[in-house]
Amino acid sequence: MDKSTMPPPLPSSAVTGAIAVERGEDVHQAFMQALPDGFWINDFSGRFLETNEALCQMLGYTREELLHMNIQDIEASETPGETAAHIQEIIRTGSGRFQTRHRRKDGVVMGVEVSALYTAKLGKRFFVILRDITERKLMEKALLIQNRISNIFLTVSGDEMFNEALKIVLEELRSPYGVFGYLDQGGNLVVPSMTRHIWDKCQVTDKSLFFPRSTWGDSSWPRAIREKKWNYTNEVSARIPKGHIGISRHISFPILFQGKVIGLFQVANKGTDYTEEDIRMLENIAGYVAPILNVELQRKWAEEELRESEKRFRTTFEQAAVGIAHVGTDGRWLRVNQKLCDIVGYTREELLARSFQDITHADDIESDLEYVRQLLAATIPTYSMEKRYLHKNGEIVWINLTVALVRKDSGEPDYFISVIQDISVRKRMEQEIQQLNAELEQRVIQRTAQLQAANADLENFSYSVSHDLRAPLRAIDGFASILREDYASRLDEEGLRLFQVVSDNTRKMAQLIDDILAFSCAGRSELNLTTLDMNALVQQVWQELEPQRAERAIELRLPPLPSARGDHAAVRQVWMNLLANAVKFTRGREPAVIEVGGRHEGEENIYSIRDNGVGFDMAYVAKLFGLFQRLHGMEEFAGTGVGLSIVKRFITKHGGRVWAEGKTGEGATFWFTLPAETIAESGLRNAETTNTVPHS
Amino acid sequence: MAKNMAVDILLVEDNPTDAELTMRTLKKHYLTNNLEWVKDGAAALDFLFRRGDYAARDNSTLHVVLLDLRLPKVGGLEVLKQMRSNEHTRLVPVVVLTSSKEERDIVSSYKLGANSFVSKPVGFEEFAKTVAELGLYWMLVNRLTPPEE
Repeated sequence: MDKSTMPPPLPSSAVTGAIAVERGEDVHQAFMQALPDGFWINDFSGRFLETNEALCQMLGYTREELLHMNIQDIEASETPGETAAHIQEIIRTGSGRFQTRHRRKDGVVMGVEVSALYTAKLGKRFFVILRDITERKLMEKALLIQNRISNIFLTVSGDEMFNEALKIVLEELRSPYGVFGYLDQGGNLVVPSMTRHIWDKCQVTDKSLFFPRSTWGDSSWPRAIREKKWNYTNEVSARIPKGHIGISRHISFPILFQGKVIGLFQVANKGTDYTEEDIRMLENIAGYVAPILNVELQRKWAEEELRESEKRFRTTFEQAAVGIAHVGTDGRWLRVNQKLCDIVGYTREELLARSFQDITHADDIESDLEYVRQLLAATIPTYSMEKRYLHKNGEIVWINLTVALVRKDSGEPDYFISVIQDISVRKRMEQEIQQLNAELEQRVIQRTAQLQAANADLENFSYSVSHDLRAPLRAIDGFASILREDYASRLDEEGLRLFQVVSDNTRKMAQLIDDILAFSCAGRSELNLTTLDMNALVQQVWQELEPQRAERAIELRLPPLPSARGDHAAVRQVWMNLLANAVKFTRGREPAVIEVGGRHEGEENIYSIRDNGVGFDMAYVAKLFGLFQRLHGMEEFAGTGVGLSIVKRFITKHGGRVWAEGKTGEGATFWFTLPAETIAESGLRNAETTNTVPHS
Repeated sequence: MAKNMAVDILLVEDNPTDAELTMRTLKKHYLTNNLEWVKDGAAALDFLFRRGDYAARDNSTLHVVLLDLRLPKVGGLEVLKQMRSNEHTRLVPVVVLTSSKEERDIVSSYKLGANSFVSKPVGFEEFAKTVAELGLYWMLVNRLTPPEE
């Protein structure tokens, strides 16, 4: 104990002086009253003989009351016989100094330091100076508590720490029951510590250590937390749950850190009423606990977060729908998830005793290792490959592997993270598709062959028609002519006419054969697209039609036409057929007018041929382009009904359209379109696919 | 016709009526004295290469071969091809006389070295006219390559 804080023992000269004072009442009184500490004189029995004002103030008694009291009346030592021992000591040595506790008139116990002097010479009297050391005691106690609490936080961890801290609080506040809790990140109260025997005693079912903020209500402790202010009562609590221990008096004390409530102390059922002194004690403890608790909570939450993050990782790792593994740089499995075990059929232990090389298909090891080398050399950041594992049962498992390398802080390779996806099903399907494709291809080849055969047949058929049908006609006509020639003298006029009929019909038949062949050819021939000068083409065709135009007065109107892209021969044939028709069906018109037109529109060119000939009835327009369809009698206009069919076939092959309008007796107009250049290319492709006739 | 006679027209024609009409026309113009008619390609090749029945024949007087394309056994184009690749017949004039008007037949014939391609008209009048012109041209107008010794 620091001597400087203590009043000095009374010197012997002072005692001598005191005796003198007894005689000089005024001086004596002045000295006594001037003392800041309490002072009294008692006799050997302990009876107060003299007191000063400071003592009255300290103990709460008047001088008169004290003079009728004994020192035992203010004694509040917790150790019986302690005071007697002190007195014996003082008598033996003549003086003494010790600390003890005195009770004030109001019952409050205070810590005091007693300095006493005893002399037998002066009628066995004790001269006593009393100093109130409650404050100092408290300070000392606080220091002690702080040390204990520090010690707890340093040496104990987790819930045990809260228990130990609570133990000190309960001890210091002489309370049998108590609670030490903290607020979690959600602001809910967590109580890791409650007096153990209460815990056992407390009958509340579902007594939770966790009090969600939403369930708090407005009893004393939630109030303390919300108001950031302690409260206490020395009255029995009525509002306690059934089965809860009875609370006769209690304090709720929030633990604040930087203006924020972070925890709570509650103490209850002290033997005597809680006083301001208890509050100060708690205040003291809370003030010291707060920063430490804060650090502890921050650490706890960081730990929880880490645990949570680790748990998330573990969950991801374990629950993943794909195989995940950590693989050492030597290829050993360091960590594998269940899915990977399922994929390859090994248990975790079996896998961890192997390397990826052990379960990789021999044909895939080298390419995998090459990737590994590149990854280690940092020439690639990751790699993905399809490869085969060997299942424990020997079967091949196709997987898709994606690998990344984790490096240490030093940059040195640490381990690989591999993601393994089972693609056996996909592989199987791919194989099936491949097989199907192969089959399909085979079938296409067969079909093509069949088609080619059919085309060849058609070819032969056309060839036969052109050769074999003509020959008999030639024979009929030839021999009819010979007959007429050689036997002319024996034939009358009717006979000659009949031979002429035979001859005319063979010619018609020959024309029909030619037209059929031309039509068939129009379907089969390949289009050779070039840019066509349509004006030149029309003029050329017009020239060729000269025999048909002989002795006819026909005006051809030919404005500039947009050039087209198409097959020269085919488009020439189109113009030929349309112009020949126009010439044919304007016979008898004077003057006959044939007007050609052409314009660009959208993605196509539209060409037209208008004539002022016999026209046609629109009722039959649908038949116009049909094969062998004729709208006029043979007597009137010769023809086989193939010309417009050929027009339609050629135009359609070019990707164009053809249509007509007419009116009986007033002429007809024919239109056809050819695609503009860009689209003509696709027309070419179409033409190629529809034409498979090989050239011999 | 005696197999060793000098022949100046070889008619290769499987259709007897066509052959008759052709020969009748040529006869009218006195062009059939030394005409040989064979009915298929194989016989034509025998004749031309002096094989079998025609081993003793003289080739030097052959003015023209009237060759149909559609023939039994060996086709007309094949006959033409073999003629053109044979030393003794490669310069013999060949007129393809056929019912075909097909472009590919025309092209193939000329590519293989035909001297002329003539479609047989169906009408007898035109037919007779065409054949007569042909005969007169090749027999009387055209000059043969001098025989190689």
